Amino acid sequence: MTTEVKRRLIVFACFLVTAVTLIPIVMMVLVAFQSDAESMAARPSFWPSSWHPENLTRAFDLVPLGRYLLNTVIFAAGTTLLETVTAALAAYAFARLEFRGRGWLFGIYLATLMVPTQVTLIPQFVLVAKLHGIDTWPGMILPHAFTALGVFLLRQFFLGIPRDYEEAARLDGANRWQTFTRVILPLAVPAVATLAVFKFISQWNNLLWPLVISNSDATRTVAVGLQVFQDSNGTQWNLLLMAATITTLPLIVIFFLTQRWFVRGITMSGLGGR
Amino acid sequence: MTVQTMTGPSGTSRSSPSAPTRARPRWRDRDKQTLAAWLFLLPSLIGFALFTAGPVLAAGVISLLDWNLFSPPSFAGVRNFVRLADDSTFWSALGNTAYFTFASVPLTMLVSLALALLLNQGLRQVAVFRSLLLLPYATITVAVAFVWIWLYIPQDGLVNSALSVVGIQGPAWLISDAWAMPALIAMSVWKGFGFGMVVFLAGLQAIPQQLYEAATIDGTGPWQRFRHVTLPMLSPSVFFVVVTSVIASFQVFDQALIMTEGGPGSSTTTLVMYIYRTAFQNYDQGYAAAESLVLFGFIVVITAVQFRLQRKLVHYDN
Amino acid sequence: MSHTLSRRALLGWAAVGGMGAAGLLSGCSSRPAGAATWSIWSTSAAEGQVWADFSRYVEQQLGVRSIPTLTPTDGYPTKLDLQLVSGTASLVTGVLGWLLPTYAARGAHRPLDDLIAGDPDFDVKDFYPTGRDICSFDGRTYAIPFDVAPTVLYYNKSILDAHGIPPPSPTEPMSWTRFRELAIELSQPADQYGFTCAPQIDDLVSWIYCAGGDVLNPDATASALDAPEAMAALEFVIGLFTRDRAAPPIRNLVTENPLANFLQGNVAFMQNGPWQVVNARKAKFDWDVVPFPAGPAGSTPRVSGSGFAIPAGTAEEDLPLAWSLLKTLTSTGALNIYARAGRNNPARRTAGSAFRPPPDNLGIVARILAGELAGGHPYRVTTNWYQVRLLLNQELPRAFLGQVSVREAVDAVTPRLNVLIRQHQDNVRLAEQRRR
Repeated sequence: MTTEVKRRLIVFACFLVTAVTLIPIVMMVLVAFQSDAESMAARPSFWPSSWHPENLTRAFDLVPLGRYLLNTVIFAAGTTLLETVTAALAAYAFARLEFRGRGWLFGIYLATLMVPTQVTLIPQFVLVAKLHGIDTWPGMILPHAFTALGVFLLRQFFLGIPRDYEEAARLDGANRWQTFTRVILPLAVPAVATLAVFKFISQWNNLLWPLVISNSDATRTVAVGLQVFQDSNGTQWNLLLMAATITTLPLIVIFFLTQRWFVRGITMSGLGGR
Repeated sequence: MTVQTMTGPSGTSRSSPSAPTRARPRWRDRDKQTLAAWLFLLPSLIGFALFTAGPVLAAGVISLLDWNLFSPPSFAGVRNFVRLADDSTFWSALGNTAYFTFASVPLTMLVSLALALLLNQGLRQVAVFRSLLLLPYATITVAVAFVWIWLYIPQDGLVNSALSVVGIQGPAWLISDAWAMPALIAMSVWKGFGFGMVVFLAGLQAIPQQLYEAATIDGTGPWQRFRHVTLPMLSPSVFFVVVTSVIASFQVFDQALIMTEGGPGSSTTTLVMYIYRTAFQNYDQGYAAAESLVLFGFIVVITAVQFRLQRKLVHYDN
Repeated sequence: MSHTLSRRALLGWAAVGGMGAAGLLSGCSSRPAGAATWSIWSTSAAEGQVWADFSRYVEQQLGVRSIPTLTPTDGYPTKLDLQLVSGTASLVTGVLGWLLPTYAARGAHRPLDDLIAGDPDFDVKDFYPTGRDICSFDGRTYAIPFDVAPTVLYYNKSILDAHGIPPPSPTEPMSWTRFRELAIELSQPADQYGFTCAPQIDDLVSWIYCAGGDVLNPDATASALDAPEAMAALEFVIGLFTRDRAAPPIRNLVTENPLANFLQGNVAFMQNGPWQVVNARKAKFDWDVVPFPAGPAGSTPRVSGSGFAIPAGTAEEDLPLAWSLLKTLTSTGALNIYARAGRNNPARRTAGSAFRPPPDNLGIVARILAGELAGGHPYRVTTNWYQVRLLLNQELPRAFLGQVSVREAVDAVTPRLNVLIRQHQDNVRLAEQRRR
């Protein structure tokens, strides 16, 4: 099989898989353009019988989506940044540095992943209340910026980096910090980028915490805003799904534009790579 | 060219400062590492201790109490845990959750791995597919859950319509005792594969090309290369995805709540849903905390087993 | 080497810590002294507007800043719980009627009898009795009602006209027999249905009340679902689904929505609260409301409402402001705002009726509450109604789906329901002990 045919086949396979996988997403977008009556009908129809692009502006009218989007960016970016930085540092310690109690401490980190957030919600809220953090940015961001997931992911990745690189740097006279910043981190870019993407997406869609912490539009996020379309009298599907579409697109665009950080390979001299 | 393992000069020796004249103690390498470690750990540790570990500890303490949130708590000792033994709803929720986990994790892993391999061809056109395939993972659960409810409508939902095209009469899915959980599992695999896909993509990128070239020169076929190069090099990522997926699956909540509210009957009532109800609807905080500790116990055991297996199956270049 | 390491790491951490501290201090949002804070559920922009109007009214009347906290309906109870347990709740909080015993029995809110007694200006009698009933628990008042309404029967005029059936009497409830006849007749054509309701206890209970039954026995010590009255009601309603096929097939137990079915235009009768009037006006056909069909005990469907309450932990010095705020939020002036919005019926007689034409017959809601025609039965709930509702909504739909008979469904439910009712009694006893 020639590389050209192989290439075409792969692209075709990708296309097919994507098309099938995205059927529910396509439906979501289609319903977003339906009229109120059609989208709330008991028997759903997928192809809109009439297109209503004004749903786009209507979604923005009913709720300050622009402000909520900004707030969501602040919240998601804040938690992502904090977690990525602190997790990278901590993961290096767990992966490469010997100290007493390392195993135990890592075990404690892991253990916190196994307790559901619904159970820690009350202690976290009371803590933030005591620190006067209700309805403030630090109160919203800090409790979610120190989870064990980042430390776990990066530790695994760091463990997989061949020690040779560090040995080489050591021989060149680098200290630990320089080894970390100039050798490990550049190699770890795909893993750090992966962590950043997951953290960003999960906090972008986090509903419960922003709901209970923010009391005003100044800090409300998009996930809370989507609730507006679900009032006690029923759900306005078309507007809800339109708002969901509008607010998911930025995530995908960001991911698309930052692709190269995921696909960077190892380019250290001596090992080549692609 | 194979990877050269560089060895440092043997017998590195440092000239030790003359001990008696210095007031400072000698820093052994071990102590230096410990100091460095704590400094690296500090930023994470402070936030972690305060905002993550603290609340978890609080939940542990609450499990020993009898507390309805609004009135002062009273000490209950192990009473909450004893109650659990007879609570059939708890055990059926545990069963449902285990069913969900052991079905959805392998399925999701397979899909993630297959797609990561497909997308790792380094072709420029493929970049846009990578982003698009992240849409299920990135879209907020409440929106996609409702679309899936429609897909699963027995009479004229898309799933049963598609099945009838090939002559199968689809079950009642979300309103059927037997098929509600499989329906949830399918939706969760669809929603969750993006996570593993991105992790595996990063892991695949990190495999040095040289290893593949060497294997090809040795005359191995694609399947051999996959088994002997890709899988071992990818094993840390696989391990990570399996461990985190199991932990997350045991805590499944959102989609079950939105799509079935735990029904029909209690066939899709998951552990975290039961814990949430115990805490926020039954106002039985101590009991809810006890339930989470038992859940925690199960997850610890399963994770410990995975860590044991890691020693045999996961390849770290040490 | 250690120096560079520690300095950089420390600098980084200090920056984070500093930002955090500065943010915490500057973003301090503890309750400003002297402000009237209150919290209520509100999802859509229209509801938000109503509460904004309330807020302005409060500022006019009390001369202090009014700070409402609006939370989407679904998340409101969870958020209220967190605020109550952390001591950051508002001076006055909204409470759903069916949750009042749940909160009251656990000591979340403060009884109001002493404040009512000590305030001669407060005209408690102006509130509809059913509203006051809903806001009481164990003989004490825990909330002042702000809205209350009975379930009514909506009907699709166009369908009735097309079949030559005269519209039902606007004031006389029709009998169950007549109702069933009509429902069956109007389901004859394909894809037409006579009736829709939610397959859940909230709707079933209206029929049970009209039959003279209840979910609980009179002293709330055991289940009354297997009593002949309740069974008759359940057989009747569920029969409409399974035997008579007068209702649209159930697609999904969670999202089953009678309003959506009704708005399709192919269902003749819908059981729903008058709060759906704002949405029903979007219908593309003529419709109106009539009193709920009368069973053996008359037309006594469920009456539900909500109120405002004061959290138990409110400090002594804040009580005067909290009480004034509570009175203002439930005053005739404020409830007139509520009435004008037309979303639900105010709990006071002197406030205007929310339900004005179109369509013509909406005025019966206020008349039913005033006792002039038909009737209503306040929703009688336990202190663990979350669990009771969950149990009933998990098991009873099986009968709606035809998977089991009504008898089997009730037999499956009764033992567990009795356990829950016993726990309810334990809660009531504990609440009484706590008071002493």
